Amino acid sequence: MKIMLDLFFVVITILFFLISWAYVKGCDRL
Amino acid sequence: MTPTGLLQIAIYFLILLLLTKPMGSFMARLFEGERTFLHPVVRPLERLVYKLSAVDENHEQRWTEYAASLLAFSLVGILLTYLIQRVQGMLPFNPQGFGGKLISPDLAFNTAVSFGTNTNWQAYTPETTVSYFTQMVGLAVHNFTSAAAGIATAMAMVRGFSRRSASSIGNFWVDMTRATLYLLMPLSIVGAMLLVGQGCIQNFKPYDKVATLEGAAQTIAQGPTASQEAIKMIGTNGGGFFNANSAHPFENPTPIANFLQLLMIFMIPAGLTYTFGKMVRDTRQGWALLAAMSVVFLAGVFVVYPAEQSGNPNLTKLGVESAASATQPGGNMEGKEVRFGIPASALFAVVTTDASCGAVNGMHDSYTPLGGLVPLVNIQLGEVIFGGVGAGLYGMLMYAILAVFLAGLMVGRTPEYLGKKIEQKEVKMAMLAMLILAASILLFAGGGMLVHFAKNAWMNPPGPISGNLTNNGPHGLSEVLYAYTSGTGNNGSAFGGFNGNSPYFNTTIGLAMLIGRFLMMIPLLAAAGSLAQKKAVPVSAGTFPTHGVLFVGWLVAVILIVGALTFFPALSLGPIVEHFLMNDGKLFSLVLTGFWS
Repeated sequence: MKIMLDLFFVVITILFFLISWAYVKGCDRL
Repeated sequence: MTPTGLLQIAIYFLILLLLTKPMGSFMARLFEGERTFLHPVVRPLERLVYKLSAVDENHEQRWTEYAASLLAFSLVGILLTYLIQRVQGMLPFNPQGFGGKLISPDLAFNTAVSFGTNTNWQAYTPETTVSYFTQMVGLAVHNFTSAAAGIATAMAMVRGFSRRSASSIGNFWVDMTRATLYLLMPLSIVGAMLLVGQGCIQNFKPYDKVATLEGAAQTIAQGPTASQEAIKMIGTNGGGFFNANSAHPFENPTPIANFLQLLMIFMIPAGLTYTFGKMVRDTRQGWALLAAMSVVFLAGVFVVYPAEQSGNPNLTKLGVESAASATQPGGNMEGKEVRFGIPASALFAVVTTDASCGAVNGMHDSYTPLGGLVPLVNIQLGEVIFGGVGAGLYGMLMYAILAVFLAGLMVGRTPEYLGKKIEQKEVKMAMLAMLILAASILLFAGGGMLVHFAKNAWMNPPGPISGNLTNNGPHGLSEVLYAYTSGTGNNGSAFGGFNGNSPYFNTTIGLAMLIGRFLMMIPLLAAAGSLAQKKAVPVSAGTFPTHGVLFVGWLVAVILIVGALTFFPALSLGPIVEHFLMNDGKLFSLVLTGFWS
């Protein structure tokens, strides 16, 4: 259970930064 | 207010102004690549860092590359800190034997994000949860790097104004390295030594066990405190080595230590205004920003201090002596340290929330409604009043863009700032940054107030979140609003009275911190990239002067109007109504439910 939670929080962190990169690209085009 | 209290505030402000120019000149030289007095010692180390990390210091980055470097660096730092916390039981410098199991995954996420974003919101209790290794390598390292990242972003923003027809805004890795090696590390070494001189502890001992006079056993936490304390203030981080933060006698032992800590918080942000003026070749522009910051800062101080010195009128009616005298401070001393008294506590509350520091030497939850309102508003305005290291300057420049845009709309001219035309792109980016902050604070806080947890919920104890609060009524609302305001604003101070250490709050406040940091920085870097590409427009009769009293007044008005329009409804339901109810004799009792029972 704890390992799955660790994985969950690592994944949402990485996901946030991927979204941030998409946001960079969006701001560049805006 | 007392004469000694006023004198403390006046001396503080005066010393701060005296530090502004030397600090600002040094930083301008540093970030323009000129030689400083530290170069003979630090330059070889800087070269070594570039060599080891394969950084070409002459490489210039476009804004997207600059932002990508910032994101990559922050992601790696946050993941490493997460790992360190979860495996701390296997790591050295852990005399108390704290294991990774003490830090649940959601708490590790919250803490890693908190320090990686320069927030330092502490849902954990340091002295019972984290080892010395975790404090030093996992957390204190972020105190340097996250502060350096903020300064780097501010420098990129300044270059947007100072460069002409340029495609690049500097190099993130070079700015980071220089901010850390030449600025934060030397200041922290000096700061730590001064604090040790005042009695701040610095050791690797196991905790002391002593018998109290009453015969009870007491554990006294130890640790390398002074070294973390200095950068905690200088980097406007705010994460305490102990849970009581700067109210703890080992972190902030004397009124002189307190005074030094206050100066450490504002020293770099104030200096950066002068750096800005130097880099745009017109120091008057920097002084104008400093003047606007000073107006709002002093206004905050002179709301909190009288409010706290007046205390609670209901207690006065009951015959409690509320006037200051030779034997007692009077006013509202609840939640304040006797060794600091009311003026130094009120000043600390304003300074720590004007900056994105978040260190506290008193409990904001125990302040009067107006005394608690000001810290809340300071963060909601974007912490641009001196602000966090770097973050204050780029936030203030965001408001400056908006101010000249609105002034341009009023007179029907294309707005200019520092010779750059402020056009669609810059205004869109400034508005995006502003709206992101407001949306994160209000939506998360509103959602938090509405959510009702099921009987066997894992995310939080069952029922509404009032179970996480120690007060009902408007004060309870203020506690939740403050938590998300502090998280989004990357301040990290807690109003107190709110237990946010549950999976729901650790996750949502963690996300608010990420949003408040990066989704604000990115549009401002985009604006910097756009501005750098522009040619300078010569000053004409139609140019709005941005170094005079009119601009300072206008900038202050824009900051207050935008803040008032955005947050007034929420504030009116919290501290504002509480103030009026208090004057009407209605107080809100302490409730201990859920977490606390």
